[in-house]
Amino acid sequence: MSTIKLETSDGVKFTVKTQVAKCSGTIRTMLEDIGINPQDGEAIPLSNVHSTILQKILVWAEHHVDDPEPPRDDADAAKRTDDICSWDEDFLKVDQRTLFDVMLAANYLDMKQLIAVCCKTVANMIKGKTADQIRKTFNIENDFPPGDEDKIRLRNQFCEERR
Amino acid sequence: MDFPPEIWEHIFRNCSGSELLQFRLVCHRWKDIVLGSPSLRGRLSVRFRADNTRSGFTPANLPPVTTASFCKFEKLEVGGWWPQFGRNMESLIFHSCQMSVGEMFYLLRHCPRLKRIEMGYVGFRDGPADNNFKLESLEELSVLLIYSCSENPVVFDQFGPIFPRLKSFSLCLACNWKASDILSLSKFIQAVQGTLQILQLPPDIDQFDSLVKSDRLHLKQADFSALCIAVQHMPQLKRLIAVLGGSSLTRPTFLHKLSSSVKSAQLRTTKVPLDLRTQVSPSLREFRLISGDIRHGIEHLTTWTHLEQLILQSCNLSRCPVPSGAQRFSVLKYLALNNCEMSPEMLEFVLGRHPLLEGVTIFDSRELTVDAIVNLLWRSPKLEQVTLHFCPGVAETTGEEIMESYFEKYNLDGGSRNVEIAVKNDFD
Repeated sequence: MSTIKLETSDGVKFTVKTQVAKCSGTIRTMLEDIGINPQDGEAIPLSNVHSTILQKILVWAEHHVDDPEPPRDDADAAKRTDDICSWDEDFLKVDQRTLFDVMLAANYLDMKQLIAVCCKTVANMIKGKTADQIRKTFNIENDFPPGDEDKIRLRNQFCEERR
Repeated sequence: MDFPPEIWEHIFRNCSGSELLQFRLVCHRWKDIVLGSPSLRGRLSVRFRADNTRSGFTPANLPPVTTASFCKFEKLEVGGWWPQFGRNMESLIFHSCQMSVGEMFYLLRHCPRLKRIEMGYVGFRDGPADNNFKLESLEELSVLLIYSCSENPVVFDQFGPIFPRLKSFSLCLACNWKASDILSLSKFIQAVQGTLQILQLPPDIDQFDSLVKSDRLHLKQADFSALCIAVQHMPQLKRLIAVLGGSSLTRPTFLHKLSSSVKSAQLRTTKVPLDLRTQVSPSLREFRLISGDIRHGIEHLTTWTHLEQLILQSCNLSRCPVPSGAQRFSVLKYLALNNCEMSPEMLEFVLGRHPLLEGVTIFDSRELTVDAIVNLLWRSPKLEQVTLHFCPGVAETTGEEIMESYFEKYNLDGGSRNVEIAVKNDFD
């Protein structure tokens, strides 16, 4: 089984099955299009990913390596978020910081399935909450000048969900 | 610690419209993300109701969405602010409103990006209307019911010239329509038929008699319904969905006259006895018949020229004679029989003579036996997938057992052929 080496931002080197590494669109492109030759033993640099996060992502990729290609979905329709498989649910039971780091790394590595499941997880954290509760959950500063929030609330009154 | 906007947008796509409204209140960034994304913005619409526009309404309070709905207006008068707001509109919905054509045209003429109009239960009053404009982006007009508030006919004909690129038109109901209303509809269809790809008309076809009889529609036969209008002069039409009504034996000869762009046709009939001894357009690849009461010509249906997919749904074949003598082979690749009524002999006939068949689905057939499937496997050597759903005659068996019976009957080596046969007796 062929392997390749990956090097994280903190200089840690990982030896990974090529098939698992190719769960990442970014790595796949490097190997296939740009023609980086991993046989030389040279590690592919992943300058945006820390070793603790890559370790975690590789566990996910190993588990999902044989997953079939997901169907293309309709970007305009609201998606279900109650269909996260229990393995993924357990995998993403981490502190918020780690979840965010995994997501940013998945984005950088272009791992669509992992991004999708992370997005659903975060969506479940904000669904049904008030703006105030959301700000508290994510430590977001309310940067509206006084009165502006009420104006938006008023505008929202003229809005409804499309059938 | 934060995400780039595209990740938030991705997260927000998992959320409903009402949740998106809540997100707008969180911070500047979130507010901009919700309305900055076309796919998120498209889930929200501005709702104008006669009551909320009366009190507390100022145009400055409108969020810049691309869909607006008007509900329960008796007179549709918007102010001078509309052009500014309307120029971003992509979709307009009118429901339970009464208006003059002029009032509606004022709204429409200021929406150059409009793609879709939906009208549910809209009444039109008489009055002058200036239709000296065109909506070049408009592709879809979907009408539940429109009516005239006066003695004059409904106003369909006035819409034709302003929709030069209409692709889809559907009309659900035509209650209490008079001949003049239907004439107005026919003028509208004539005006848009050059670009139309999808046409759906209401089932009460009897009402279309006068339209059919008028020679404005280039119809040579008077027996046929609105379908004929649809099929004769529409070079862009790709898919025909139609409902056929009436009570006398009907031969759907219009299938022969479909323009060569039509690849797929779906016909739903309401208690019309069908005589299928007719030709179909050689371009037709897919045909779906729903609730067909087939009296004659089943042998034509299964061997229509280039038909690759045939789906019979809730059809009754029990009053159709089983053909005898030599029959032609079909080029069908996929055949589905869903909830159809027929004798075992007819089933045997319908399943035979398809040497190119690749897939078969049979749903709720009381007549189906293991032997019938074994024979089907023999006669259709390219068959790869068979799904048998709720068929009591095969419910006790499995796909493997059917394959074994097949190998045994034709004295073949077990495993010499691989066909995926799924026997399902529940909904999963």
